[in-house]
Amino acid sequence: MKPSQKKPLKQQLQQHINQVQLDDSQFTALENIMEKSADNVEASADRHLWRSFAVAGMLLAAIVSIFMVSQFPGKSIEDMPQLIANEVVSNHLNMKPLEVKAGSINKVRGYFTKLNFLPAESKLRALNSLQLIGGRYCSLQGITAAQLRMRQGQNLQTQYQTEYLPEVFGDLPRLEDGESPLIVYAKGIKVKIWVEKGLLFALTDSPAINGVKENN
Amino acid sequence: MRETMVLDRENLQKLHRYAYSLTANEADAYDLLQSAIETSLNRPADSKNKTIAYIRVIMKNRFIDEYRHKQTFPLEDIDGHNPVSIDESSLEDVVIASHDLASLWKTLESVDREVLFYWAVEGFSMREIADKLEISRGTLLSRIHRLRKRLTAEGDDTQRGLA
Repeated sequence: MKPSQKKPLKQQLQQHINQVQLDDSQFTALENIMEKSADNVEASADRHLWRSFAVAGMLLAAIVSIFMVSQFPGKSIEDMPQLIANEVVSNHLNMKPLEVKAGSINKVRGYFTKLNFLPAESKLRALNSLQLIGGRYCSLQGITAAQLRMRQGQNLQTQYQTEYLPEVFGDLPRLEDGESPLIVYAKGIKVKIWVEKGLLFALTDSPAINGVKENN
Repeated sequence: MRETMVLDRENLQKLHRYAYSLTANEADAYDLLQSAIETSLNRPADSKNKTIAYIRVIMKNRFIDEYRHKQTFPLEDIDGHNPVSIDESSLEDVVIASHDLASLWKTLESVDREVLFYWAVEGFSMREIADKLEISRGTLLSRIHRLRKRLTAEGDDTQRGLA
């Protein structure tokens, strides 16, 4: 056997190491790994982006919730009569223009066609001295309601009627059961709240105020 | 902007040869390269820009972990021995036959093969090789001294055997 020729170490090393070559199938396999990873990086980055948005959104919602809770304590059903009174009195004081003028409940009913209840006439004795003059659409604690305006001599009162939803308004006195209306004050004005004929009624009992004019 | 690692075939070939200098076996070299690429792709995007140097480090670490469970560099320094006349050109005048190198290659320690790879293929200086291997220049020269003795002895033995 003829020995191979001696050459400088560096040259032999270069030949020896450079003869080591990846073949096409190995190149392709490695390139596939890198390409697949590049796709995954894109998808992962997109997922990461959306995940970041989602986390940011949740954080924002949590912060807003905490702020809202701290600034506006949640409505408890126990607080509901007072909340009803507050809302009724606020709108009573605003005296927004009437949308319909009507002297009878039947005439009023003809206007409130978009309600999911029919405005009714209460048997509460206090209403005997009041004369219906008209009404407008309104809402009470987010529930669509009819706001009726009534004249009491030179004075005006506001009556609210809406569907009685116990889960929203809580337990309230029922006139048919012989219970007396609940009396709650808001902004110095007395409000009577009761349930009758399946409806929630709220009526202001506002003292006469000089200079109050009917705004219709 | 997202960056992904792109290695062309030339760079893949270079990395494969480096892996071969570690493993002394082509199949193991390919496995090591593939494993290192997969590892690098699973790392955060910012570290993927280091490409070749980065994958070399991964391969070296992976090799130490998987192929050689114990990596030992000689602790003795050339300065602690009798003075020997070696310098950066100590390997330059070594001549060897290709079949001697082929048989010797597998028996060398991986760190010696790495030294020879960096010196012959990459053209690094001894200082650069010492930096790459994270050893002192004295330690590297000591290693080269023994390597030279072994390379020349192997060649001489082969010559005598064939004679």
